[in-house]
Amino acid sequence: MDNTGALSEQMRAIPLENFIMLSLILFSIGVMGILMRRNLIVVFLSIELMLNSINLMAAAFSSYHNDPQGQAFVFFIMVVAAAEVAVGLAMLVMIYRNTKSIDINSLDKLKW
Amino acid sequence: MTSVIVLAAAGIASMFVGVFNIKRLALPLVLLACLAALGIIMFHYNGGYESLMNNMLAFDAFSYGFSVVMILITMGILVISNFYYRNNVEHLSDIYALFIFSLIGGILLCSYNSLVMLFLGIEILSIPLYILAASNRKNLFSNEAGLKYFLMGSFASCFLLLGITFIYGTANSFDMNVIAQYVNANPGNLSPLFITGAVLILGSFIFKVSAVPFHFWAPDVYQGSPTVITAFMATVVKTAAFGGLIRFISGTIFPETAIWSDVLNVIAILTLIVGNILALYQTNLKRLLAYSGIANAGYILVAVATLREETFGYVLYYLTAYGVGSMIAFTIYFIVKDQTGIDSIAGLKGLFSKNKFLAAVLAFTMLSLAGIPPLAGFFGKYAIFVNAINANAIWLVIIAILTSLIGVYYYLRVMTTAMSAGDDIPKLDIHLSYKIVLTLGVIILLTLGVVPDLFNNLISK
Repeated sequence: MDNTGALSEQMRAIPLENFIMLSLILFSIGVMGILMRRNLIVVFLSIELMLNSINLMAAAFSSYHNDPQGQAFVFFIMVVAAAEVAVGLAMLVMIYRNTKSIDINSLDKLKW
Repeated sequence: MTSVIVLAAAGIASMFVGVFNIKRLALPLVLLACLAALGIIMFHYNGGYESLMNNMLAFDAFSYGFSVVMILITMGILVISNFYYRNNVEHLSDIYALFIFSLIGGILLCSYNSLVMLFLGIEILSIPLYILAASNRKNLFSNEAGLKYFLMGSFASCFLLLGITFIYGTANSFDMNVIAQYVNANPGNLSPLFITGAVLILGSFIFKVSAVPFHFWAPDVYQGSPTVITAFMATVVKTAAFGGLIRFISGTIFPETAIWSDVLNVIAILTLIVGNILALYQTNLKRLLAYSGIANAGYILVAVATLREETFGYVLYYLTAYGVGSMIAFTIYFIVKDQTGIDSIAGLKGLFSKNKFLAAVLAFTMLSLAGIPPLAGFFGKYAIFVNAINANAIWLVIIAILTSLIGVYYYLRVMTTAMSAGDDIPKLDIHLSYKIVLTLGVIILLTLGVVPDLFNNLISK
């Protein structure tokens, strides 16, 4: 128990705002990646980046508030992210087989 | 909770049935499980409150009401999909299993009492749907629909997670009771981080219910996916998402009307106008139904924006009327497309001379969706408008009534096309399972129209 307390003390040498800013910067990089990159694999990477930036923020809040719930939440996010990426990669393989391309722009059949 | 366990067990069993090559058992199995889940809910239902897993889930009258509606519509869709997939039975039991898993997510989304469970509910609802939307593997439309749904869905759930984490960071708990205490303790001066978080969560719900400005994915995904899956997305998923939205608002930020009511007012107006006007320009019947889904989300948002205790029953009533109505409409779309190969509204031409039963059912459904008395759709709209007037949202009601007049036009256009004379193509045959589902659907629409109080007594405390 003393160890965790010490770890928390060390972490608090860095203000919470820094952690939030770092997570938000990572999150924004993820958003930009999804909006601007056309390669599906990079888009999936960007989604992972967004999810992991949230993990970082949840862990930081958890540590600063001395409350374990946030860290448990991180595990839930990880599990769901794994499931999501499994589905996403399966879809990517399927699309590659049909169009021989993993460029998002190759899929433009559906328009109003 | 027992109902969720029964459904989960049936979903897993359905996958095993597929492996052991006794696929004929899959449909009776999942249908029996749905009936058992319904029975358990009815048996447990006493207006009480059941809190589970450290207060992460709470089953109450609200969640039971929404669960019953979702299970009933899922059963209808399961029966339809049996014939829909008659040429492609290889993965049928897996598809049933995915439907059931998605339904479980929907039930959790209507019963959460912790933001962690809200996130898990949305994901359990969505992940099977990503697979289902892309389940027509050789079809490029289906591939594109699945990928679009997947990318948009995970993008939206990232923002949901960001919102949840912000709220956790300020209220210091995921438990909705603690969050409600935090909101009550700081009236009018909530931390900006908390407000941002709440708005982000509202935004991802608005995405899930496909309301403007996050509606653009819906018509594409609806058009590309196999029709039974589209029917599932337009009915069960929308019901679940509205259940989750109302639960979030009433459970946490209800006292702070500035955060949710004003935002939802604007979004409801935008959704009503954009959904109804764009529906006018559609020639593809499936896309028309997609825009009708967006417009109907607008009417429900009118009710959510003027949320009060008794509104829950109205929303559930409207969702049932809309859900059953659009399930019937999608079924008829599929029957016509299956036999004539045309997916535009003009393909309905001469339906009356081809099959009188089908044309009559279509007419009933369109009248109900357009809101003509004495069908269920009319009383749904009526209750929502009266509720909004009582909440002094006169402008909202005026816009909703004006846009619903536009709605009457395009619904009746579908109906008159079906009634008009067409070229004499051979008669349409319909499978018995379709007949059963269509007849039951029309009976539900009529019963709800004649006895509109049924639901309010059931769900309001």
